Amino acid sequence: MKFKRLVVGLAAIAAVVASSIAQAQQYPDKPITLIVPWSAGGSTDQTARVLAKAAEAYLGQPIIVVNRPGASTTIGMGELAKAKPDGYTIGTLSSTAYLVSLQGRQLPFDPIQDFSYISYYGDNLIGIAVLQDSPYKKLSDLLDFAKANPGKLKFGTAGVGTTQHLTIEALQRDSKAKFVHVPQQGSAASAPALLGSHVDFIMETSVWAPFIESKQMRLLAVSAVQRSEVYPDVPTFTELGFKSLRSVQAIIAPKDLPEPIRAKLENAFRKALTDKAFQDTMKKLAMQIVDLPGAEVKKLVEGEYALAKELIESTKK
Amino acid sequence: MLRYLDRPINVAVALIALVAFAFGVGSWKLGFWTDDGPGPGLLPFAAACLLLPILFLILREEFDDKERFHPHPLFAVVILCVYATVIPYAGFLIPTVLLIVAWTRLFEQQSIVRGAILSVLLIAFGWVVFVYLLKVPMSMLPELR
Amino acid sequence: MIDSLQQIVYGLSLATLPQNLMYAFIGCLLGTLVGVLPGLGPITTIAVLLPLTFQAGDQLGAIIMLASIYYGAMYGGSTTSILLRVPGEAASVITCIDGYEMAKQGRAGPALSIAAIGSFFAGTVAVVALSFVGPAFAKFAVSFGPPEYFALAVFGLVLSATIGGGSPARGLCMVLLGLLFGLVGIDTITGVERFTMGVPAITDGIDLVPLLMGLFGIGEILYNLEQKGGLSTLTSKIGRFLPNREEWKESAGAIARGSGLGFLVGLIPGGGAIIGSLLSYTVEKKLSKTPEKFGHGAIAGVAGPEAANNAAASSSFVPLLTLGLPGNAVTTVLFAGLLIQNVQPGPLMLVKHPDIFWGVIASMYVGNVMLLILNLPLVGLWVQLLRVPTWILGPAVLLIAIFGSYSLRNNWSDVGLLMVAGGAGYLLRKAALDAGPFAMAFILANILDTSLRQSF
Repeated sequence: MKFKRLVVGLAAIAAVVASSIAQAQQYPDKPITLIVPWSAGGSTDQTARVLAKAAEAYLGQPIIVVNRPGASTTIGMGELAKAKPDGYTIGTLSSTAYLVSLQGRQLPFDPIQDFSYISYYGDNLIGIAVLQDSPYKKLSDLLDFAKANPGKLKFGTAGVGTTQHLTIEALQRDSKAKFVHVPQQGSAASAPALLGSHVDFIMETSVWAPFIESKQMRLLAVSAVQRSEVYPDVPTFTELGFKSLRSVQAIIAPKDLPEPIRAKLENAFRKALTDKAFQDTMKKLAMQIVDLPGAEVKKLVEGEYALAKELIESTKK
Repeated sequence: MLRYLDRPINVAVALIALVAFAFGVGSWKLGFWTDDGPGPGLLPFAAACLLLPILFLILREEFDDKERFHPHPLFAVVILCVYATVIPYAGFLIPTVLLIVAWTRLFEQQSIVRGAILSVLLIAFGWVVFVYLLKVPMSMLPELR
Repeated sequence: MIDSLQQIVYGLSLATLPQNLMYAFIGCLLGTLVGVLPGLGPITTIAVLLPLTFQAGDQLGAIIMLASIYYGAMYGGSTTSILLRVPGEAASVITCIDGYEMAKQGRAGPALSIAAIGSFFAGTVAVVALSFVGPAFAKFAVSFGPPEYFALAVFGLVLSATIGGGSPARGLCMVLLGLLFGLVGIDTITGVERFTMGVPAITDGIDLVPLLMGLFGIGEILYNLEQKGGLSTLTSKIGRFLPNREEWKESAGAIARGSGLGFLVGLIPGGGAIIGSLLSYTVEKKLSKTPEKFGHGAIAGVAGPEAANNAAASSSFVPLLTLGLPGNAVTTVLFAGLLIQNVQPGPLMLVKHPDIFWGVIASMYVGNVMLLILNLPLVGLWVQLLRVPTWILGPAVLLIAIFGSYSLRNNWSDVGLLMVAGGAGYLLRKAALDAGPFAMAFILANILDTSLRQSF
């Protein structure tokens, strides 16, 4: 009797495994939906579209980009978390998605554990910019002044709890300098705030790029894994001995995505990184291409989350 | 009491007072002041508090008010709200056809056939512009899981 | 001066190339159409076309097309505001107030014509100003800091209480209510959610477009269900298409002032067309010899705001092109469009891409003429809309509003918001409370709150 049960059980398991293998072999046999939790036209949307186009060639099926913006990505991420983990619904992950959960907001899903990680594709280049005629030539000048005059310098970022803001919090904590945060309504508002001298420096994504070129602004430091190709003279925070958060851009899927399917997607999306159009788009947006296997993306995201949490707790003291 | 609610302005004032009260309580919890200046609750609390005396003024204002509620629009509001609740689950197509047929039948005294034809034409137009040309992703039928 | 002239001639030589004329025409046509359709705005359209322009080889042509969609929509936006009290474009919400009253009096033709003519005049003035003094105005744009924004918002709020026809207490009541609802969503300064009750659909704030369509459009449809015949009572008197001499006299000054005001406001990042039209409306009401006519079909209340929103749409290209600062949601999408075409808007744009800069500016001269030619004859056609029986018109507007609301974020919850706002719009209409001041305060709420607290 027991034996019979065991056989039935084994057969059932075998059937499931076999069907999932068969599924993986056929996969993909219909178009794949890529949820971008941002509005059309933004940097994630632009890069994800070109990357998806390039990945189509390795998957043999079209990838349809669907924008589900709203509530700092939680609407789109919630929909992705609820989707069937069959490889036909995947999405993009930005650091914002897990940072919002640290803002005391209740999310209907776990921003890290509810997803499977397919691949990484890049980092936004984030940097400290000051006006060209400001007295601060190096990051240390800025920090020295702020240490001598705590609370005198104002800085602008895209908002509270963003990667930009938390990186400055890390800088303040580790250097003992004190700045005043003036949150702006999104990245685009930061550049005019600096140009009009309404703040003393900004910590932002590439909104400073055109002004660096026109010699109206100067970059003091960037948060990046290695020095940017475009700004080889600007040191990274890591070089200067400070921690910085990464502005993650990755491809993910709902959790429990069968491994063969995940591997197929990972393979396609990592190969797509070499696509010329994708590389051009990333360069235009001052983003760095980073290639990481899915398993490491999860580790990286967990590490980033822990650091952000630590920083937020330290600011509350 | 019921006669009082027959005048739309009274209903509006009552509702606005309720809304103002809710906002007032909400902003109280948000806090009026932080170390760096005014807190997130200051402005909404001020606005909510100011509203109450103004509502009182409005009630006392004399004006030529002949408006009374009519059953059709009230019924229509209910239908529209039911429609909006159902549509995420039932897909776009079926509730919309029903909505337009019901609308033309109940409020405009048109035949069901006319309503059905109108609904098909309007949906076809909307589909061509938004779904076909603008590629808006929209689930037309209930999603089967 | 001579220099600028040379540049414009250079730009015109590019803009009048046959393929660029064609792109401008397609853009103007699309823009007019999406402007007319309530809920479908230039943002969605440009965003959808972005991937297409990516493949198009012609850099300048693609950008001309995207830009002309934007200012074309400003022309089309007034049509449904006047005919149906449904703002076709958020910036046309002010036009609902007097435009719709005019239509009810059988003056839809003159209202539509003056909107088109006012838009043409303002658009042209703004482009001329752009070409001669544009780059110099860039400094003005960044000089606006938190205290200036605060002053602008307070000024706007005080003014908005006076729009519409009700008593001061009623205006103020709606302003305060608009302020409260405008503050729903994440607070910029502290990052906490305000009054969202944990509903994700409103954490970014209540969306403006379904709110306006509901309050004005759906509210009006519901109101018309009461009257047998409803909207069709209008059909008996369609009347003239063009304004008469008196109407010309009333609107000439309004158009000129609206153009100037709109131009200035459009330069400020975050200012935008809608604040321009609000300022223009209230200025006209203050200056008018017959302020009591406002809210009851004053043609200056259509001409001024329509001129202002067009001028603002054109002048918002100054911060976009010369500073790389997108001042509003539409220019943000245009910004992305420029980047896709490998053009980095910013201080070096004039040096690195003079062809694009002057080509786009010159195409705006051409585009404005095209739009006038396109829109004036359409007046006759649009007015015929009023002959459509109510049982068709009502459901049609309803359905377009549903599609439009959904397409903003591909989210059904915005349709729910549309319906709730519709019910509220009906109640306000019945209670003789004006939704105009509500809408203005709703828009200004965040500017007011953020700038006040950034100033500390």
